[in-house]
Amino acid sequence: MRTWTALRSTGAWWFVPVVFGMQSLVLFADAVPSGYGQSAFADAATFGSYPSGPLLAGVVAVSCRGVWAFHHDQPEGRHAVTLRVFAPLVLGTTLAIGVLMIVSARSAPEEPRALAILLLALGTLVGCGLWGLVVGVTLPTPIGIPAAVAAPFWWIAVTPAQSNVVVRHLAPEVVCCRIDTQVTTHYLLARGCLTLVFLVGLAALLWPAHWSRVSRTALLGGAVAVTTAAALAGVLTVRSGGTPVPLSITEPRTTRLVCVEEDGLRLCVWPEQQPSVPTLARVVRALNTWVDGGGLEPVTGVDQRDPRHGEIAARTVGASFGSVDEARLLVAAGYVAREAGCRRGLYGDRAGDERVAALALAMGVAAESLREEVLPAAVAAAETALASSRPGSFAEWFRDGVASVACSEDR
Amino acid sequence: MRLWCRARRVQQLVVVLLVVGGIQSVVGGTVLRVPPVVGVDGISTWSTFLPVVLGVALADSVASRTQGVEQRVARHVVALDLVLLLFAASAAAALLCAFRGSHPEAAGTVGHVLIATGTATAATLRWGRGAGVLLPISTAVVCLGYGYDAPAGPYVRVLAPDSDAAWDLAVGCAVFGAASIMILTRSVTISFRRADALAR
Repeated sequence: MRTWTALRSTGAWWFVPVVFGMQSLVLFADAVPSGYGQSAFADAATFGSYPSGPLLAGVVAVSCRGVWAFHHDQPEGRHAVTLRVFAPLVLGTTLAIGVLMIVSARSAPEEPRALAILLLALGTLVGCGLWGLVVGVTLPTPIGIPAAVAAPFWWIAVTPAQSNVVVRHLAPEVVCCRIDTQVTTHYLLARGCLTLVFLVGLAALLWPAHWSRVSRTALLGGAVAVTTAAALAGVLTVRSGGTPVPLSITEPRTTRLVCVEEDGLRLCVWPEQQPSVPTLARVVRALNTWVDGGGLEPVTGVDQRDPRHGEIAARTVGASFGSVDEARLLVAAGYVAREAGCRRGLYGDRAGDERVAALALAMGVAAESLREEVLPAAVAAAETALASSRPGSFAEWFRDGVASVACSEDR
Repeated sequence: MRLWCRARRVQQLVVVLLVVGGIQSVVGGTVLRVPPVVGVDGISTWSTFLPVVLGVALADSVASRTQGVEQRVARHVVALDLVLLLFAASAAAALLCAFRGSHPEAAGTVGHVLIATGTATAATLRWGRGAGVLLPISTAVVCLGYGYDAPAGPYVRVLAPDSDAAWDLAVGCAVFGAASIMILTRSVTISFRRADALAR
């Protein structure tokens, strides 16, 4: 069978471009590049397998029903026929979506965890293809094709909304990560076990040269057994830790910080934030000039993981500090969090806190643009506090209210 | 008639109708939580897939074009095909409406059945069985992932229970009408070998 015949008979010639286009729309509409590899690949993996996974399973189920019977008497090996049929449709789609994921993430998967997320997403797509093949061949059309689509659809689109811990750890949606978090090893292992057992099991079921002579019932039974074994492997891996598993699949990030000394300030940031260090240093110096004059304790440095005494953390969601005004707000929120003793930052970020607004105004953020980020009432209170001409009144106002600041977790 | 019944897999279609009705009576109106990919909101139910299952069965039924006993347009076959399409759609609509639960309106449910059966039949007649199967499935997958709050959400989610019922019915009537015209103008020809095989 020539390559073009394989492309045409399986429908790969139209399906791969169509699904590529459809998936591009979804990925570029929903995946927000954060500049952090794991987060970018988590987004790409989450949005990259819907709707391509269920549709791939359906197309494989439709396309591959008669192919093996048709090529039964071909002189070449059955494996070659299988591969030539399977490669353009399933592997072609997987490759196309893989390239799309890397393009949408705007970086190569350099970290091992980002690479694992990408490989799991690609394994999910191949798994959908194998599932479509088995179900399409073994069940009657009106049941087989809807089942080929519905099962991957359920797994990809419905399980992420479940609150069950085990289901959540086996679902393909990777809800991850702020720049200070990473996906847990436990989740990667559970998903890896599930995917590996499923792929290897179905491939072993379909690989033997004589499989087309096996009855459809036996083949379906084998597929059910493999699916059960894969689910079991996943569940056992989730439960293997001994301690109760949390619903979240993220944990504090363990990557080493990049530390730079600048003008007596120790600035330790995540590797992706290194280009923003000069901006950060400038903003912290501006804050120190103000707080020194106002009778408050200055900042000795920034540490994005565990600030030492006198240091602050400027917590961001993605890698970037954004504009200079955004950096000023982050530093102001970090300062208030330090003074209030909030180890994990302020509750609700900084939207309602007048002390954050006051420090931001003092550093030069315009009141108009500040009202877009902080509640107008907080901005008004901050303006009143700053307008007071009595020496030490600002420090007094700041210290009086800081004890009642709400933290995101504990103090 | 017997040949036609076998070629159109009428028995299979009836079984699918009963299965669809049975499933609807159990899960009718049960909400399926699907986080949308575009937009943020939207209700889906398990019943969304049932018209699609019927569409797939219809695509499988009407795919064969070798029915008659002569090399010409076989009018009685065409009429029977149209009756089959109408029967399948009205039976499915009646079953799904009877057990539809609280969420979707009856007009919307009829619209969903007409959209699924119409697209499956029209695509099968125009592009073949594969397209007839995949088009309603793709429609369901895409409209469930498109949020209610996204631009034109109620009009894009044509198979979801929270779509615009009048719009669904209008689209369904248009698609189903097109499919009926395609069936009526279809040329059905003979294969004696196929007829022999079916008669056996």
